[in-house]
Amino acid sequence: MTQSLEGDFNPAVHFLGLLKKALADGLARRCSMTDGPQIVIAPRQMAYYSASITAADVRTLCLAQPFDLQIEALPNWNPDAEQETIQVGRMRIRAKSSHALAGLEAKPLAELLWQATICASNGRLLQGCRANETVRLKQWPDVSLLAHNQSYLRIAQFMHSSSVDLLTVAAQTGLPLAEVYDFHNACATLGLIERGNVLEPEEYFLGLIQKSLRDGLARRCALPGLPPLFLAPAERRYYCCQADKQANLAMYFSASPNDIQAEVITHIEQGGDDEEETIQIGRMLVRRKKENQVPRLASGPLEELLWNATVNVSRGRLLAGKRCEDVVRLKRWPDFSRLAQDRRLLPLAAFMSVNAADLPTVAKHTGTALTQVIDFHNACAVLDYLEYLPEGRLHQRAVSEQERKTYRTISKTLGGIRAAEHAG
Amino acid sequence: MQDKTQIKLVFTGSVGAGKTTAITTISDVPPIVTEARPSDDVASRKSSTTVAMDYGQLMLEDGAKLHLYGTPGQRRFDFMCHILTQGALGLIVLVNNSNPDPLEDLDYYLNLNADFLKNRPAVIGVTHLDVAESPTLEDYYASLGERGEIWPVFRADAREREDMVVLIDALMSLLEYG
Repeated sequence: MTQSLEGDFNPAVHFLGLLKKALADGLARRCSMTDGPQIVIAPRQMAYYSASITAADVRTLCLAQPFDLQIEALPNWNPDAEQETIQVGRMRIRAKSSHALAGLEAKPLAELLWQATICASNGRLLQGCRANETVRLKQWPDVSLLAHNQSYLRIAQFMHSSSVDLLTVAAQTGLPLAEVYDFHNACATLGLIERGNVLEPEEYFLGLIQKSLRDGLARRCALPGLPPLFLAPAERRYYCCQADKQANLAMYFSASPNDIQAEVITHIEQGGDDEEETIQIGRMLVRRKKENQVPRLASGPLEELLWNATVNVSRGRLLAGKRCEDVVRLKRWPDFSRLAQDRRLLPLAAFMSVNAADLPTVAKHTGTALTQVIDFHNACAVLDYLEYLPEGRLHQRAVSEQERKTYRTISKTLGGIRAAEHAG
Repeated sequence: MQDKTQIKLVFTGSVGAGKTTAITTISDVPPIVTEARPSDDVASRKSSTTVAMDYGQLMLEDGAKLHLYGTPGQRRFDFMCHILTQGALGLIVLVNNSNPDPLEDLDYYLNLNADFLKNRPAVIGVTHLDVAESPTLEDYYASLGERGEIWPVFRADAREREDMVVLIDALMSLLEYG
């Protein structure tokens, strides 16, 4: 079979289309096949529920076409209770729902999305994609959960380490293009693929921070398996658990927004170290240490989170809507003592604060790789530290070789001090 | 005492901004300080203050020395600023954010060194931000914007070597690339 270079796999005509629809409208659905498996798709819980479903049943569902399936929308479906409130005379009582499924077991929706894509794509590229488009795997799929083979591991390894087109992936890994397409499609369905050379904030946690800053609403964000992170735009701060803070933040930064459960909240529950509660035992009121203590959260400025969220995912791709030829000047320096701690960025800030220039000119005059200039530009643009000007203007003063040598010697000595401080 | 070919930096700023502490923090040798009991309103804030200059040095990788000078904070000794900045690579202005009007302090020291700053850069370190959160760094940039200048402004703790390293490093970047 010869693979088309233009995407012709349309999820809408498969079970996958139903899953995508549920994700888009957030509505739970019961899905069943005559004499076949029955599941409830719960997009808000990012889960599907079933009573003892086998791998073969999942495959049957995934290969089904929409007309093979009976679909029932469950607008008020509650996975915890599986109960509904009914009126009996004047009383309202809770009864087992007529929709209830016995002994439901929850499984991650990602597993179903993955399987549904692999089953249905059958060596065809996802509609809207092109084989010669540059892509990159921004995060490994969870291979502890998702069905995979050795080929997928090889493709994942290659696509995670470099931005390349799918034809190159197939050529470099020696695997059939059909297999590369299937893997790509499944990853794209889970939001794990970065496209082209454009950084779209909405594809990352970065977009959520920006949204929170725009609408001014505090949010509780949660990634499965990680402590929650709170955005408090009114205070211009964020809150998170102190333990493993850097590692957890890195997971949030690279996560797909599909995986992050974000809910608007009115206040942030900030725990103390020794909170007490009053409880009643018989006639007595007694005070005791709270059973479920909310840990005291670490906090930091939102600017810091924005900066790091951008730098972490930028990887040399220019922010959507910006061009390399844009002439920019730095309105203010990032706070290098707290925000941008990479001292290699200092020359960029120095040059860009004095000169109005496009990004290749900045790269040339500072001897910095264009990708690094772009990353710095993106972070500064997100924080509104840049002004965009109609034309370039260079004010650089002449520096003699002797002067340059002196400045660099001082900088090098300072680098040594800094390294010693970190080592100490 | 001063050699015109020496490589030097000058720390300046208001009383209590941390100039002596900054030089002590970064210097490789015990600094020379010229402190005395203050005789004016400074006495209510500090038991001693610099009256001539502070001096420290940092040994560079090639064996040369970077000389570090600190100016007195009391304005009656402002003349020392002009003496000490002669031949300096640049100026580090420390501003105590808990002073009554830190933005005016910044304005004052930039005006005092206006001639020097025509050809040499400055970096601004805002200290005591833990004591007084306002004005913010944004306010400092707005104030610099009104002057038509954009010197780097960083929060700084004069006791932290890394903070002092960042200030000097930013100054070197401005000298080479600015």
